[in-house]
Amino acid sequence: MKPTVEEIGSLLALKRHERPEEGYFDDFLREFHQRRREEEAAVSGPAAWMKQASAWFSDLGGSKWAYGLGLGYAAIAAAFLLTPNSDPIQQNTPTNVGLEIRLDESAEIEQLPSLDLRPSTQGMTGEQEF
Amino acid sequence: MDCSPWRCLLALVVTLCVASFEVVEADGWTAEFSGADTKQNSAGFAVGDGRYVVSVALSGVNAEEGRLSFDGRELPANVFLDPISRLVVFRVTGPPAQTIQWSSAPDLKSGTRFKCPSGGQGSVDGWVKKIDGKILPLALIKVTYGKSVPPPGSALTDISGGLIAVAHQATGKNTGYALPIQVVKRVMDDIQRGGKVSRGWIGLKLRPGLAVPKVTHVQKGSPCEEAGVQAGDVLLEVGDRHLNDYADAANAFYYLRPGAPTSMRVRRGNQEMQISITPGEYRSK
Repeated sequence: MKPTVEEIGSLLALKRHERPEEGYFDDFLREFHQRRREEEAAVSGPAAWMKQASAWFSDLGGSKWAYGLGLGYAAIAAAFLLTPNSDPIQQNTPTNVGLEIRLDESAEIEQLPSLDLRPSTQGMTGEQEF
Repeated sequence: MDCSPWRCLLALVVTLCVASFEVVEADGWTAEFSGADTKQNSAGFAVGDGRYVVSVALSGVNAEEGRLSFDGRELPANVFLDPISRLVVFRVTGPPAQTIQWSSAPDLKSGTRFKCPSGGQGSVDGWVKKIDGKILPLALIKVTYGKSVPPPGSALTDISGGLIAVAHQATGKNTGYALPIQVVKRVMDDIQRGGKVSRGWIGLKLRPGLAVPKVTHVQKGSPCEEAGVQAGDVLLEVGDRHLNDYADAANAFYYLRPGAPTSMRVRRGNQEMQISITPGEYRSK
């Protein structure tokens, strides 16, 4: 039996007063995304991992910018430290400075021939005869 | 007359100053030496028979042309120079002067106190064998003076007035070196016996860098070869001087006199030997 026009009018009037609970649409949206992520988590691979990461970031809310900055800084620091130095290591080439090690230990010790105590006085070196 | 304590003290100080000035003037031996661009004034003192005046001419002056004066009056004199120690001896004529006696037991250990001719006192700091890494030809005494450093050639005497050392070069405001009395005795012996300053020669060679005074070479026909000294022998004693190192040996050899037999103790291997050597005269080559 088909409802009458009056019945339909009274039914519409009743539905006009029916409203969902407060926060219903928010919960609906969150549940929708959660289900979607759960479905995607079931899929393995790098693409899925990236999606999980981005989802995790999305869940952080306002603090995601702080986390992002910290991670960026850590990445730059790691790159700086781990990048091998491209400058070639300078090899110290030996230079002849003209020094000679003398095995004769008396060579450096001077014997004054007289009591000339001026600082500029040079003595005799090597074997001394008496 | 008002004689307050301050005036009395002032008068006392003035009297003492005048008295000390007169004492300095009374001890009137001075020697003047000239160099290329310098002059050096030294003190002096009479020894021996009163006609020998000892002084010191530091390096850089012509010692042989030194001029001797007594109380400002220049006296003619023969000059003798020991080129090693720079000790100068003037031989004067005329009546003998008042002499300084040798100390009977010269004590030159560290801490020994002595008197200066100006009335000041000083003390012996110790012996010096090496200065600025250079080995001296003879050991000097390092001294500290109570007042200012006296001029070179000043007699340093013990408490009883006996000569123990002669002031040599100053090293600071109140420090300096001094020649021990043995140097004066050695030079005076040479002059009085031979009329000149000589140097003994025994004909061995040593290396200054070796830890011990080991003979490295013996000259052929030398007093050492005649006495049986061999290369490799370690010198332990020369005369009454104990040797620890090369500088001790150089100091001991300075006192060798030509013609005067000297005992030497040497170690050869495990044996110690006593050797007598008569030095010849050193002739420069």
